[in-house]
Amino acid sequence: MNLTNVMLNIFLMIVYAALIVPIGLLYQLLNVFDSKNSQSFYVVENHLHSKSMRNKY
Amino acid sequence: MTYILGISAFYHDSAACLMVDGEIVAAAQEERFTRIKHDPGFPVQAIKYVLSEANISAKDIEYIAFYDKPLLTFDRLVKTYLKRAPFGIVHFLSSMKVWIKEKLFMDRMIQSGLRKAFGVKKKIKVLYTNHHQSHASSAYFASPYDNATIICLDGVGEWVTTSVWKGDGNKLDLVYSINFPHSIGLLYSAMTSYCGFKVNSGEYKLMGLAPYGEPLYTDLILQNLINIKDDGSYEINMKYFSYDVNFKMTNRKLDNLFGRPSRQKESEIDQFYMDIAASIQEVTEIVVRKIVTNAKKNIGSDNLCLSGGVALNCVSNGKVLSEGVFNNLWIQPASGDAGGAIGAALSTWYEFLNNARFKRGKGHDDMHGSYLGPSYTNDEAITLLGLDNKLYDIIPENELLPKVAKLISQDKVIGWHSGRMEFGPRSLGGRSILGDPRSKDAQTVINLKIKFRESFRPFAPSILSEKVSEWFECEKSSDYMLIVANVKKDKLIQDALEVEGLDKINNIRSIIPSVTHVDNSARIQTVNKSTNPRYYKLIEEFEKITGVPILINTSFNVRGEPIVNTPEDAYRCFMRTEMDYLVIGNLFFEKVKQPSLEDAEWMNIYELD
Repeated sequence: MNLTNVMLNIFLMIVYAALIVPIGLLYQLLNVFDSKNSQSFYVVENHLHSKSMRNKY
Repeated sequence: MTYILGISAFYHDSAACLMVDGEIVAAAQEERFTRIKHDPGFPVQAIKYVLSEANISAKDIEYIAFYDKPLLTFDRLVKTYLKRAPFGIVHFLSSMKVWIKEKLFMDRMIQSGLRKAFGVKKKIKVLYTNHHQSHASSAYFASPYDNATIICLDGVGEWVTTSVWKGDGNKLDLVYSINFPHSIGLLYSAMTSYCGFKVNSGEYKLMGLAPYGEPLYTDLILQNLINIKDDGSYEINMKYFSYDVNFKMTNRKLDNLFGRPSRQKESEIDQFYMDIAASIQEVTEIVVRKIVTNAKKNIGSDNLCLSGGVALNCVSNGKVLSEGVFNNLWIQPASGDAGGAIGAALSTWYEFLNNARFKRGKGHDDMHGSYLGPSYTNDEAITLLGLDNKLYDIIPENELLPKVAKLISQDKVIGWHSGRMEFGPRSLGGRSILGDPRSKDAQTVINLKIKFRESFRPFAPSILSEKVSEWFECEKSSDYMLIVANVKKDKLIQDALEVEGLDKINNIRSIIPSVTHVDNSARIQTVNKSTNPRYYKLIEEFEKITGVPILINTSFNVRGEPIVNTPEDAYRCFMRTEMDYLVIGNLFFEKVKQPSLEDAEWMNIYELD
């Protein structure tokens, strides 16, 4: 493992600990994913109006 | 002339496709050149080949069509990590490294890949299609239909795992979809992993294993793992799975549910795992059946196109066809991610450039029989092989085909390298190992001594297209070996013994036992005179001798090896295995005349799949 990889790993660990975990826990606490991203069924409306589908390329 | 280069790369099964004025001229998977199974790298050699087929250079390319939108996949990954925090750090570190270094800068990667490999200085326009849009395009625009319902089922592409589309003329519209982590493809892969097979290649094995078991766990799966609604929508219970933020797809709760741990790779397969295979196969068929029925109700076309990895489940496809919800069914032969290269290019030609659909003859698709890869003349093969000419004979066509047919009828196994290589996971008579379907031992011999793979894996029959309904419960053609149907009752041997588990393989069930699976089914390839006249003629010659218009056809490779491409690959594979004869074009090799093999360690080269 070269120095760049070591530095990158450290950077990513910091990002994970400082951003992903706290924001993720907060989101989970506020039920952001459950309310908005419920995958229970076809997401026709969401998908057709999403930016990615309006812009096919 | 408009040259469009379709690319799928950086995940698995990299491939390139060249389209010239809307015509698919060439397509190939990178693994066939690099000899690395499922090679995910930038497909330099495949691009080099497709350009050579049209005799152009990379600077002539007008558009590059990439089969996926990387930023949407990144969005899915980040949101999934947030949703599952604090779990998933190992997955996060591993995947984000690649994203930060490479995938977030896809445009730069593609342009620099072309610059390094081909010295292209100009910036070529890169278009990105949605992953499922690529699948849907590859199924619809390559199909013989002017309008169709298109269903794509795979593991996941960006966010989408299941999508239903409406195709009309040169327009393709998404009607509805299901998003990650709810994925029938990933459920099947997770159970593949649970049964001790490798994800992304072992799914075929699970499908082949299913008929050895009984679907005893279907209810347990339906009650706990997946909630299927009447219209075919479904929800996976993620309590039992960890594939969203973990490299291991299932967790201990799943082991506890079934009362057994996941099977260790290469360990003995017992009845329990066969029953699991049968159960998950049944669940998959239930989901597919409901989605198909609902799509017919909502969209209404008589034509159905399928694509995505789940569309390679030919048992499920056979049931879709036999149930007759749609009058016509066409399945993209390269339904996996490699086929995304074709789909992205087709989408660019028809949707982005707004060109009208071609008018093909009735029933003719745009895939040219899937023979889209390289071919080699006799002279090229001789030069590439560089062998002493005493090691082979050059036999004229009118003598070669009857000779090969006669050898097959004498239970000899033939390596068959003929014409253009196939695009997609199936060998269709271009790069095949051929045998006699009447032989009771051929399945075991070819599996264990030639392919070095599990003895339970079935072989497919290649049958003359006109004769299919005489031998199988199938009235329609299956040119790409993607439909399973039962052997006709009058061809079955009624007094077959009742045995259980893998012993079923020794049971002689029909007069073509080597291609009759333990449930009396077969994965059929119908062979047409128009798409592969040479292979058709060979089967005709075999029929003249035996009265059976069928050959065993399995891919020309050993376990873990990509299917052979060049004559050198074919000769090497021939020499490493117990094949009896090899045909490369008109070159005829007899094993007993060849020098002994020196690379005894070759088996270590390929990672077992």
